[in-house]
Amino acid sequence: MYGIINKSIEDLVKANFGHDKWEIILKRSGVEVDFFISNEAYDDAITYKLAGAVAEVMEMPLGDVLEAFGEWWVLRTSKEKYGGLMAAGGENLRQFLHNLPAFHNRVMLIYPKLTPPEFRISDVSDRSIYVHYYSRREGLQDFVRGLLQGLGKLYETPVEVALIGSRLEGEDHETYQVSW
Amino acid sequence: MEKASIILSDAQLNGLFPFHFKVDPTMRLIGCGKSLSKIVSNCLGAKFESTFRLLRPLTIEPTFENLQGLVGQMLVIELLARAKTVLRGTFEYFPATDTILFAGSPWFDSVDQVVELNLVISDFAVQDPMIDLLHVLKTQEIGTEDIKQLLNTVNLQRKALERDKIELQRLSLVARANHNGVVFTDPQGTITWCNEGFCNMSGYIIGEIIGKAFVAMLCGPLSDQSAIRKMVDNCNDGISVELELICYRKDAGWFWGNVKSQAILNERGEIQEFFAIVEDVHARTMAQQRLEASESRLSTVIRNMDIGLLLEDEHRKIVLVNRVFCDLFGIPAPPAALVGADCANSAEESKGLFEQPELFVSRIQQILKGRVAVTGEALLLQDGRIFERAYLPIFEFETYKGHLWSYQDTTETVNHSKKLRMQEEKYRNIIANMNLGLIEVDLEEKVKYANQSFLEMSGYELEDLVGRDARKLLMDESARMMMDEKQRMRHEGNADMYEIPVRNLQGDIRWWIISGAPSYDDAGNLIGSIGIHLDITAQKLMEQELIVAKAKAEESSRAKEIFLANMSHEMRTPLNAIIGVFRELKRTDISPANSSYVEKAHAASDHLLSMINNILDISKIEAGELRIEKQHFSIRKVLAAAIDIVHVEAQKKHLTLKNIVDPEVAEVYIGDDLRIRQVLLNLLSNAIKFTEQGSVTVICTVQAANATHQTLRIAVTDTGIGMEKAFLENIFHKFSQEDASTGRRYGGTGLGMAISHELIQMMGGDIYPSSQLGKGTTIEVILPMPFGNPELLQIEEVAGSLDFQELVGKHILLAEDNPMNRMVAQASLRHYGIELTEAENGRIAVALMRTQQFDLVLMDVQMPEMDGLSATKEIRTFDLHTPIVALSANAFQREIDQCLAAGMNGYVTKPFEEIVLLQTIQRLCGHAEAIVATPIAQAATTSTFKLYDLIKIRDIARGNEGFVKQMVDLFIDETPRVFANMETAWAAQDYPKLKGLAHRIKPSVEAMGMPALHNVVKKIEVLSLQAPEQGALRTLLDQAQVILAEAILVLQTDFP
Repeated sequence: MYGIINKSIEDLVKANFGHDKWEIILKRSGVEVDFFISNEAYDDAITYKLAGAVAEVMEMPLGDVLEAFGEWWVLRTSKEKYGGLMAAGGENLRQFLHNLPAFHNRVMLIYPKLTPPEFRISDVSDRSIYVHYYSRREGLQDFVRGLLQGLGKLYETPVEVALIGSRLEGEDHETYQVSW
Repeated sequence: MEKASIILSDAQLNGLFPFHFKVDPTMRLIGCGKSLSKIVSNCLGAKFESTFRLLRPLTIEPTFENLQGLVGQMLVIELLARAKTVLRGTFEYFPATDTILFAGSPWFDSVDQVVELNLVISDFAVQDPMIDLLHVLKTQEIGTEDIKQLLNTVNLQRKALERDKIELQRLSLVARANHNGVVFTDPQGTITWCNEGFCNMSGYIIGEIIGKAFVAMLCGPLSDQSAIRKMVDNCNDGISVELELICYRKDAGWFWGNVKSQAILNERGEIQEFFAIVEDVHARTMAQQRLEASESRLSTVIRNMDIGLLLEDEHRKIVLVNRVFCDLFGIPAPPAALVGADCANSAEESKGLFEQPELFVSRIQQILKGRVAVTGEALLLQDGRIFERAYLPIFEFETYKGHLWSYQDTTETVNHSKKLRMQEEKYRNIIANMNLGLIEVDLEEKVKYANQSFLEMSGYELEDLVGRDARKLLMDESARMMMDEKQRMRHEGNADMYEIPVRNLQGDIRWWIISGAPSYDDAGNLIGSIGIHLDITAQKLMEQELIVAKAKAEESSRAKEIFLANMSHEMRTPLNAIIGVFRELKRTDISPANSSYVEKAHAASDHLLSMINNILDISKIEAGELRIEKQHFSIRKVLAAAIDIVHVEAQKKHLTLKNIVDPEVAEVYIGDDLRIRQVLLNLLSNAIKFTEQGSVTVICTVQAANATHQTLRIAVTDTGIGMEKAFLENIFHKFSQEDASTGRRYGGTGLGMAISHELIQMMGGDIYPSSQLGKGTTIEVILPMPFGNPELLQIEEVAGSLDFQELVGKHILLAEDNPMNRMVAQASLRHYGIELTEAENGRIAVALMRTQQFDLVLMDVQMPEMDGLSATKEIRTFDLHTPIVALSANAFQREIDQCLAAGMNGYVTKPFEEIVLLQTIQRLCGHAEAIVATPIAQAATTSTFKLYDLIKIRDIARGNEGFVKQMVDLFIDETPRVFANMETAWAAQDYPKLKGLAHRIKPSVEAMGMPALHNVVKKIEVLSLQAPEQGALRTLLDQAQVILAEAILVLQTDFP
């Protein structure tokens, strides 16, 4: 993953628990990278280690950490760093989710070293939409849920995100029903 | 071509170019893309030039024709309604509709413009990379920002690193250059680094330190092991520790070290290493310990002093107070609780205790103000107590730091002093007025003081005596010499009392008893002596009279003894002849009538002998002559023998005689069987005498027992006339019979019961009579009897055999001046086949001994010409060892001792019982071979001799029986060994050695009070020196061994 992800985790920890905690978490994770460069690709393992270390040090379930990170990613990292682009994603949640597949497809081209997930949507209605998440990475379901919840907050639209299909249940991707 | 041409609908055109517009030849906009319409309002129908401005190419006037000319070129068109918003694209001319189409999209510098125009991603054609371009730009912008941040971070880190480096260098320098020991260890406690300070401190070089266990290297036997364990445990738990510990050097010396240690953790919280600083605080700690010990001692002293102490600081706050102080002032709180309390008002609070409260308060204020030490102030309390107060201000470098109060309850001391003064006064008066003369002298014996009584006793005035040596005034030369000795004793600190004759001023000899004691001053220095004098002249005279009286009494007693001895001799000698004659007469063939007369005469003479014996027994008892012997005997046999003797008398009166012995009664006891038999015979004879019909019964039972003794109860019961209660109380009085008529009727001296009583008491027992007049009497003897040895009893019985066959043919010399007695002895001995040669006196006997061989000599003691003792002594000088038996009518011990000392071997009293005489002869010559082999038996039967007398040892022991026992044990242990050596010397004919050994053993034998043994040993010594002869020495040695063996046996019994 690109450094911006790891950087985002770092920001999340620092903002919520302080610098010292980050140092502890970084040491605990065993990741020997002092500075993440946003556009540089890093081994996925680093991200997993960091998330794991946060969970250990803060004594939180990993799922909660990932979910929080998903929200953080949308509400802080994306908004701060790519605020315009995010705004250009759509005028409301529904439109953003609608544009989500195209958005990610464009990102794939921009970041050639990225192995981006693919999003699809279906079952679009006035009050809900199905978001299909295809990824080669394992264990990021809660992160995606956090992302979707974060988007709801970004567009000030209270949402409920339900994972209605998962690779853990034998399917080839995760399906989230986002209702508002 | 037509087939290949594509006709786009407006929707398709919008999909591909959502920002397109179309212009007709009038330059009006006849078509606007959906996205362009979002950012340009009222676009459709508007004039081109009022909506757009062609920025590139600039020079072209915006006409339809000109626009046509721009087909194929890149155009940049500005939206007039949206400043800085430009479109980038190209024109295409469609002749069929005479329309120019603009195909392009907006060109944004940043995504913000997109947002400002409310455009979203779906407003852009899918193939339009504009939005992606913006994304890339943003990403690059972020990347650039990252790099800036990174550079900034790196820069900060570099600066931090430099700072850290400097810090590290500084710390490293601190660690290295620190004179304290700095040590790093691995998690196992093994030293990985240390500084020079640690090397210096421990005495090891660094190579010896690295790799060693820190604790093992630093600590040793005196180190506090529990503190070390705690330190290690705390460090392992990540807790830093500081403690003071005894640390060891390489040379095994130690010092007090302050050890600070802590764990260094890694990022995972695991122990990476330990770090310790060791500081040598030995001097400080020792000083602290000394200070603490000193303070503790001081505090303890103060706390435990018998004086109430209160230490206040300069602000009058209590620093220390003790229990006694609290008790004195009735303060209920514990002393420790008062520390820190303010004493400002304490005088006011406690003034009520004192007789003069206001004075107490004002005096304290005065003292505190003065800050000058105060001592010995007496304070009277209301309750009658008296306190003594002292005050001591404390200054430190001239700065007042507080003060110490001390209060002591001196009530008792003051009262005691008062009492003492009164007593002193009293005694001074007593001394001054007493009849005892008191004199005090200095070390030169010069008189310092003499009381009135002394002046009266001596006749001198005080001024005559003071400063002078009283000895010279009052004493003669010999008394002065004695006083010199006393003076020497006083100088050694000894006091004593003595009597001394003095001459008073009038020249009269007076006897004084003086109690003298050394005199000391208050510091304990000897300053002279004090003597108390009592004039005992009157007592002395009385004493001298008493001594004379005593000597007279003793002389009288001696005269009585001599009289008794003479009487004994004088009476026994003819009685011996009379009894002997009757004995021989009975052996002759005489008529029945004469036989009856002889029988009666024999009985009468036996009775007479019995009375004489009783009188002699009483005399012996009174003179302390009678001794209780200790030999192994059977009480059953004694009882049976006694019954046997009285049997005939009982039969004559048709009385039933019963002897009942409890099976519990032991077979053998140690005691005087002859004396027990005597008592039994007396009791039985009385019982038979006073019983006309019925029975006489002896019952012997065990009343009590322990491991060594049985207490026997021997009851003699008769059915006789009985006794009045009043007489029973006097039954043991001498010469008592119930009434005169009884004496006449039954005969007897009235001594029997008195003798029995005395004998039983001498044996440690008691005797109890009980009787009912007309019904009978029981005399109960209670006698403690130690167990004896059956083996020894057997030997005695062999020795006491009544078979005298072996005496046949023995040749005996009889030295006897009395022809009747010679005749009696002649008759008796011949009857047993013994050949007898007679000598009328000692001199003839000695002469016969020079020329003839005899198996034994019977030697009368009192003979004319030469008595038996002298004769024996002379015979013994011939080196002749023929046994000599004394024959004497004197039954007193003194004579027996004299006989043995003269060299006789045995003793038979006259008138002799035939059996006793024969047994004695048989023992000494008939069983000649058995003498050495059975010395104990012999000793037992000849044990009328006093074997030992510990009076000398007891004198030395002064009541310490343990010492006496030790001496006896030593004798028992040592003497046989000396005798064994003497035997060896004899065998080797080493007479000087034999003499030396005899000489050596003599004092021990003498100390043990063994005259017989002493006599023999002395002979051995003399003989070895002057005329050594092996045979004679052999006999003496045998005699000595026999006596020694017997003495040891008795000693062992007496001192178990």
